[in-house]
Amino acid sequence: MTKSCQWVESRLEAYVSDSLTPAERGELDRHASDCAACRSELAAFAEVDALVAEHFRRRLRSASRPVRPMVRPLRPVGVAGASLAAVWIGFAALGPDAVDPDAADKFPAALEAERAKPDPDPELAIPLAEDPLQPQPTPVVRFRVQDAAGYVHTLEDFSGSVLVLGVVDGNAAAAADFEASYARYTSESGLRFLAVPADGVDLGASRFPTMANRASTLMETDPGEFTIISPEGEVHARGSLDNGELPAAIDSGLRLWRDRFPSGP
Amino acid sequence: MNPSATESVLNKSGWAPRAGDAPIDFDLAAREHRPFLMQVAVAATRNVDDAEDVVQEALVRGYKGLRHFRGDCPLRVWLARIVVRVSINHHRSFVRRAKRWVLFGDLEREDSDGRRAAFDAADPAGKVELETLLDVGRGVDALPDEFRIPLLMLAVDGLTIPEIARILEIPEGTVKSRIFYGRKRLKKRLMPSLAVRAER
Ligand SMILES: [Zn+2]
Repeated sequence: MTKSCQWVESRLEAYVSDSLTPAERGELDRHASDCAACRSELAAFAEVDALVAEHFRRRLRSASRPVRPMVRPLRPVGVAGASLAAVWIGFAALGPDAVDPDAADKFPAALEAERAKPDPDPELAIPLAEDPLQPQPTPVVRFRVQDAAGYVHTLEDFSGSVLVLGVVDGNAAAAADFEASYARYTSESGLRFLAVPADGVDLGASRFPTMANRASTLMETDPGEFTIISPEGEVHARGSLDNGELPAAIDSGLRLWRDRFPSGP
Repeated sequence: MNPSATESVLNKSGWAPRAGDAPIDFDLAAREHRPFLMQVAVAATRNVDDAEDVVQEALVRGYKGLRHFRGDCPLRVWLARIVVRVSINHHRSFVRRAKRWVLFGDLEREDSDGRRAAFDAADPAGKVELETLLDVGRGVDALPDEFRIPLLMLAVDGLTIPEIARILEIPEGTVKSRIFYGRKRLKKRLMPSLAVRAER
C-alpha cells in the first residue's frame, strides 16, 4: 500500500525543492506511479519550472543584446524620415545615466572615473544587515490592526511567533478554512492566528481571533489570501484561503519556528 | 590597471586585507563575476532593460563600499547582494524612469513585460507556445518581489538554494517556501495552458 495523496501533498514543497530523504522520495515516486492525480500535479510543477527557466533565458538574452530593440523610431522624430542615427544621437545626449550599448566595454572607464572622485559618498555606504527583500522606507504602512478594545497593534506585537494572517473576504469557504486551521493548530505555542476582514466584510461572530485593518496593506495580503509571517516579521509564505493550501503553509511555518527556537523561545 | 593604485585606494577607504590575503583586484573580480551578476540582475529587476545599468551601479557601489566587505562570504555573493538591492531600488526610482520617458518622448517604446521584441525569436525546440510564455512573463511579474526574485534566481546558472539564501540573507527554508509558493501561484495561473492539463 502506498502513501495517501494527502501525504504527497504535504511533501510537495520538499519534493520540488529536492529536500526529501531518498526513502521518502521513493515512497512519493511509487505513489505517483499509481496515482494519476498526483502524477499530473508533479508534472504541472515540472512544466512550470521549465517555463520559468525558458522565460528567464529569454529575458537574459534580451538583456544582453548589445543593441536594444525596444527603442525604435516607429514615428518620425520631428522630421520626416528620421533614421536610426537619430536614435543614436539620442543615446549620446543622455549622458552616463542612459542605456549604453557598450556598457560592458566601458566599465573600466566608468570605474576609473569613480576612482578619481575624492571621497566616497556616505550615501553609497552599504548597510549589510539590511534585508534586501524588505521594501525601502515608504509612507505605506504594511501592517497595522486594531483590536476590539481599540488598541492598535503592529507586527512587533507578534514578533517571536509565526503569525498566520488571513484576510477574509465574503467567501464562506475561506472563513471556514481559516477556522478549521485555527481549531487544528491552536495548541501550537509558536503560532498566532489573526483574521482581518477585507474592506466592507462583516465576519459576525467568528470562532477565531480577528482585528480590524487600520489603513495598512496587511503585508500585501489580498482578500481571500493568507500570509505566514516569520518570528522576525518577514513574509514566509502566501496562498489562497479557499483551496486547502493553508495547512501545508502552516506546517512550513511551524518548521521555521522550530528551526528558530529548538527548545522554545 | 596598476596594482599599486588599487592598494592605495583600498588603504584610503580603510579596508585592510587580513594577513596572508592578497589584496582584491576589483577590476579582475568585476570582469570575472559580471556575467553572473548580469544573470542575478535579470532575475531581480522587473525591467530587463535596466539589468545592465543595475550591474554597473552595483559594481561601482561595490567598489566604493569594499571596506564593508568582511570576507565572511564569497565576493560574488556579496556583490550579488548589492545587485539585488540596487535592482529593487532601481525599480522604485520613478524619477529616473520619468526622465527617460521624457527623453524618449518622441519615440515609441514598447513595454518590457514581454509585449515587445523579446519574444520575437521562436524557441529553438518550438515546443513552447508564444502565448504561454507571455503568460509566464506576466505571471512572474505579478508575483511580489519576495517570491519572484528567489524563483528566478533558481534559473541562474549554478546558483543553489543555499547560495540564494546567503545572497538574500534569509534562511534556506524561507527560500524554499517562497520558491514553492511562487511556483504554486504560477501553476494556478497557467493551468489552462499547461500541456499536462491537455493530457488529462
Ligand atoms: Zn495521489
